[in-house]
Amino acid sequence: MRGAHRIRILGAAAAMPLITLMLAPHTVAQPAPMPLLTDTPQYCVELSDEVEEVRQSLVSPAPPEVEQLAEEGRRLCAMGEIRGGIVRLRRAMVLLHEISGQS
Amino acid sequence: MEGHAAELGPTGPPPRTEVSPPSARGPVHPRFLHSAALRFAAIYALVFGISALALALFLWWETAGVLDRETDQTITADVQSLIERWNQGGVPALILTIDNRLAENVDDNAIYLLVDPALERIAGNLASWPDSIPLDRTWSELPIERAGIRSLARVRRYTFPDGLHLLVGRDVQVRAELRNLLTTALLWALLVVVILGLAGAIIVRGLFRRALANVSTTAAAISAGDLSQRVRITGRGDEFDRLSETINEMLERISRLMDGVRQVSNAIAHDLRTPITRARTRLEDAALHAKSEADLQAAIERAIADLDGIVAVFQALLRIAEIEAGARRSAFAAFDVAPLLADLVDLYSAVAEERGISFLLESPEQLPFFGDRELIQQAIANLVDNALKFSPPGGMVRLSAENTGRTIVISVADRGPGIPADDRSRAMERFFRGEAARNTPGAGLGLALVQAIAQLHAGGLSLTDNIPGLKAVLRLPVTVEAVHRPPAAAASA
Repeated sequence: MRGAHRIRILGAAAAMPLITLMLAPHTVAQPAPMPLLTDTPQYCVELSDEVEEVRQSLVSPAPPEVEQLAEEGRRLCAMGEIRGGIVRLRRAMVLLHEISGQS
Repeated sequence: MEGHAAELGPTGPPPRTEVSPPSARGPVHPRFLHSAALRFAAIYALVFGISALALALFLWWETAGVLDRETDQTITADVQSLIERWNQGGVPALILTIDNRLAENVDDNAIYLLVDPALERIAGNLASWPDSIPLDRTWSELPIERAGIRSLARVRRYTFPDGLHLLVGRDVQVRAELRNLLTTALLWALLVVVILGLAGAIIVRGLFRRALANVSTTAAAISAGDLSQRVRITGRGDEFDRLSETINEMLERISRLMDGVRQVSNAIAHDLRTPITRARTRLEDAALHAKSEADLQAAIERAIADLDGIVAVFQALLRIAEIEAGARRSAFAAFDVAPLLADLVDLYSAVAEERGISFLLESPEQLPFFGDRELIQQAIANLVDNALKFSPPGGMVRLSAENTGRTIVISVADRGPGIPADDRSRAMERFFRGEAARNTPGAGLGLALVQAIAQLHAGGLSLTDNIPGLKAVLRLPVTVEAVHRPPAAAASA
């Protein structure tokens, strides 16, 4: 019985660091985060202008899908949904580059 | 003698042995480490823990590890591509490529920064060179903020030959969260493993102790003097059962040996007391009542004859012990038993004729055998001597031998009183004297000697009813040496 008691004590001692590690909050000091310039309304405007520039440089008219994505992007940026707007503008840019690459 | 028997008996407490202090026996360990059961349990827990840890590491390598490696490969490929662009078109081409990649970054996870040697920003989506990333480190983890939300990026630094510094990275927040989730899950799993390992260790320890308790209890009972105790066999046929069977066989043998020692001790005490007492009485009587020197001389000679008989008994006992110990095996050689039988017949024919007993021999011409010639001769002589001794005048003793191929069977049959069936199994014990032998000379060691010789040659002695009389059969297995080394060759060698 004394042996079993010792095993229980040893087991508890072994498990304590593990439990502490799991329950401890992750409070390690970290440096201040760097803000990304591509998540800003300003970048949204810049990207929108680039999309427009590329679209106008095309020989043939851009497909309606590009127009739709660009328009949605601008609208979302105007509504403050910067990341959503930027993602749509980027999709429009990808399509435009594909079209310009084909032509 | 009684005192001696008491020493051999199981009733006395075991002698205490001196135990040296721990310091003299080596390093001192905690007392619980001296428990084999605990050691087994610890080994089980250790093996279990290592296995679980290896499994966790494998899972980590195959999940979070794969994601990390994929990210690093993507970033490395991106850096290589930008280096090529710089090689082809210089800094303007590099800036244009970075801008294009940011403009087409549908996954919204790319991070680029190009700075001049003075760390002034040229292109990319970071405002400045992060203070947390030294210029001599290739890979770093970079905390970033995206629309006010904290995130984490994995970045790689590269410095161009013209002093420009490039930082390329990916947002790995989702992967980091997945990794944290996996880490937490694995830590909880390890906790479960620890608990299961300890529970298993306790169970293993209990099973081990329970298995050993059976043996330990029996050993303690035997140590306390109860030789009848045996280890309980569970019937599972496992290693512990086999151990128990071996221990029980050992105990049976020890018990038989102790019975034999006790029986021989008692027999020696009983059989030798009479001639010693007789010799003493004769000497005392002569000392007190002898009227002449001739009387004294006669008493001394009778006492010497008695003591010679005792010496002969001891010599016979020692010879049996020597044979049983196998010390004579070195004298084994190939020889022919047939001429040996003929010699014995010649030797005993005169005695048989004197007593009016017919002594017949039936034997093949050759009986090649490998063993101790002298002992075999003595064994057969003992059997013949017994047969002649107990045969009535006009009786018949038949000495026959045959080779069955694997065994030489030598039998000596007489027409004497024989041995009752109940006594036959004991007739080969030392000092056994049957009812018919009470009035004949001898110490009851002849058949014991024959049996010891037979066993030395891996054979046996059996006694059967000859109706009337006794038939003693000596079986001696023929070994390979007897077949491959004929007696003639052995003799010339």
